[in-house]
Amino acid sequence: MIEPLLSLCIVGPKRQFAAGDELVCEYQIDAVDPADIQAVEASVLWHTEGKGEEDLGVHFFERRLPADAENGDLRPMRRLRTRLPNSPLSYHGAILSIQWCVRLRLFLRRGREYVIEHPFGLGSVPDVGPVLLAVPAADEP
Amino acid sequence: MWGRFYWPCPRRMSRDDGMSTNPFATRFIRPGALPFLFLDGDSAEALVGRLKDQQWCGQILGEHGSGKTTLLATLMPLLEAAGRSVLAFKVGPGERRLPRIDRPALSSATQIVIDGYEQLSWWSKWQVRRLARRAGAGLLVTAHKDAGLPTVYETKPSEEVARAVVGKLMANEQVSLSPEDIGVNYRAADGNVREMLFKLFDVYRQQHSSEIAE
Amino acid sequence: MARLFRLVEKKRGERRTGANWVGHLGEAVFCGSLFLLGTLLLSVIVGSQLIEPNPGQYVIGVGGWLLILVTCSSIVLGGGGLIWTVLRIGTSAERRSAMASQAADTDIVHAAVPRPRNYPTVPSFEGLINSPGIELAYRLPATQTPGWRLLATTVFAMLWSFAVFLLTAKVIRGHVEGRHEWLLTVMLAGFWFVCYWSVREFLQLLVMNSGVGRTTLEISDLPLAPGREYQASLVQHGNMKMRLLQVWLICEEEATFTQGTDIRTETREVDRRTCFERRDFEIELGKPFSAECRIAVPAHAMHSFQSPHNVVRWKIVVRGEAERWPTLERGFPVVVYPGESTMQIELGSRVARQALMPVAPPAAVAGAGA
Repeated sequence: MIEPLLSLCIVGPKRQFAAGDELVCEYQIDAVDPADIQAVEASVLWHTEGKGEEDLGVHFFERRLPADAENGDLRPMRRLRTRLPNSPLSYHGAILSIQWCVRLRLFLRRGREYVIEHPFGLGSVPDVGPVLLAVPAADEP
Repeated sequence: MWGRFYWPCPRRMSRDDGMSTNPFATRFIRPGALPFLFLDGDSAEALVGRLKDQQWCGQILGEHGSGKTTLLATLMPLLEAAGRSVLAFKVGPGERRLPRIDRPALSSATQIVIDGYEQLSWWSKWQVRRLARRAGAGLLVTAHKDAGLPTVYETKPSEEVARAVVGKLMANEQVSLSPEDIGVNYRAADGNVREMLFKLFDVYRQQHSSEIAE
Repeated sequence: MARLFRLVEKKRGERRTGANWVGHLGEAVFCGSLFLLGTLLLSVIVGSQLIEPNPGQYVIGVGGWLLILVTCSSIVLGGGGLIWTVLRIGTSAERRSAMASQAADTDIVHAAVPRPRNYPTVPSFEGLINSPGIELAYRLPATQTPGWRLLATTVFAMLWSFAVFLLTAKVIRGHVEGRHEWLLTVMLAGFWFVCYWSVREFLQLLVMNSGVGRTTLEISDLPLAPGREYQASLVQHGNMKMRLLQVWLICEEEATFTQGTDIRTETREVDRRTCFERRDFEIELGKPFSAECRIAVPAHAMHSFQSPHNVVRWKIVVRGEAERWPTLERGFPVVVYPGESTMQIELGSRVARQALMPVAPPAAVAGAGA
């Protein structure tokens, strides 16, 4: 069985954005019968990563069904636009990180699902420097 | 599943994008993210076979952070493949009761799975065992100490297991941790593999940051 | 600021105008007295029964049983009230409300107030600006680090006193009946010493935590923004010889992970700036120490962040080391918004990563397992 081909990219050379910038993305689906596609979801979201449970916040979300597309075909290239918020800014801390990405999720018949992500940065908060990551010796509590 | 990307769409966030992913982040070490590693010659299939021989009733014993929940996550798809209709419950900290179980929904093909069984009150335990017995359903639980069911498996972490887990997590990493790092942190965590992984999160972060700074 | 309760007073903000420590101390004295009285009476009853048994005195209908009921009630109410008072010492009205509703995870900064829509995930600062200051714009509420030491001391002192009273009654009865248990009598001296020490320790901590040594901190503006400086005014009450008094601006991360039967919460300090420091001075009763300092938020500071399991938190901490008193440490939460510099991006060369101050070893990890 041929796997579907998902293509997702951010339009323009930037991968770091300022708060309030417009983010433009394009996605396209290939190598799949249009009749097999049940839905396509595109979202712009942030999620945490680190030593805690993952939290997630969706800034932009779009779900399209075949009925929403011309000729019922969700495969042709689609462009998304959204203005990025003031927060939360991308952050790479000691025990938690905040990461932004564009996520594309494809739903096919018989419960098959495919996901791809394209990360980007929001803001310019510097990483927590190595001097603060002094790890206690193994015998310390 | 991941499709192909148009450039530039890195699969693993890279340092140049301003982000990096620590292989010891919770998304990679939570139960289900990693398969349970059997280093004692046993296997998940054999375990399911033993459970079947015991009329689908059994317990998985082990200390904190020894991999009980991970083993449970590894067994779930095999139980479903064996024709069991899995009804899973996770008993959170401080919880003493299970949600109401719909009795008519239970059958001999049902497999009740309870993670954190010993936290339940004696009354809840008695109720669920009675329900399972009457319906002919299976009951598989995890516990820190004997819960009165036949033991299907006992998780016993060792430094060897800890190294194997770290090896799996760091398979695609360029930054490597030394065996000494793993051993020291395993012993510092008193054999709690999960706690060791949290400590290694910091060690990896420190080493990764130092290398970037250089 | 009124020290004692005044019948007619113009309120400032939503906080009460009387001195908190008077209320807490009074409450503690009342509950403690009730507990001790109940314990003493029960010991006398038990002792008298041991010396001259007369069970008929306490059957229902005679009235003696009522005395036992009253003494037991006094012990339970007095002890419970004392523990509750101790738990509430140093906490704000918002935190008391959260404790009463058993919202264990509620932080006063993140009380149920809608967050600013323009800044998702940045916690609201409504709870911080509802009390105007006297010298500066706002008086910050304090979040006491859990007074586990005070609570543990209280419970220990209560239980030990109760046990010692009962044991003393038993020993006295033995002597009266001619059964001299000298070993137990000698050991009782040790028990009474521990009882004295535990009650003394409890009273010391109670006085310390009740507001003798109350700390107030005011700030010129909220919320804080990276790259800006703010005026802060510190007033420290008490009667202490201070070896050191410091004011820090601290940023910490907190991450909570639930797996199986365990909840694991880890807190890690990622930034600490010393805003004020003074050594070797005295604070006299009635002459509180006051000082002004500047709170400078780093230009590239991460903003405050709140999600269900992950937090970036900023706070101002006042820490004091005094002779003959335990170290005092009081935290005052603040909210830092995203700043102009961090909301933008720096094109060209990599963003300069400012080296941050070295910090103490990470805080201990709190885990609750089965």
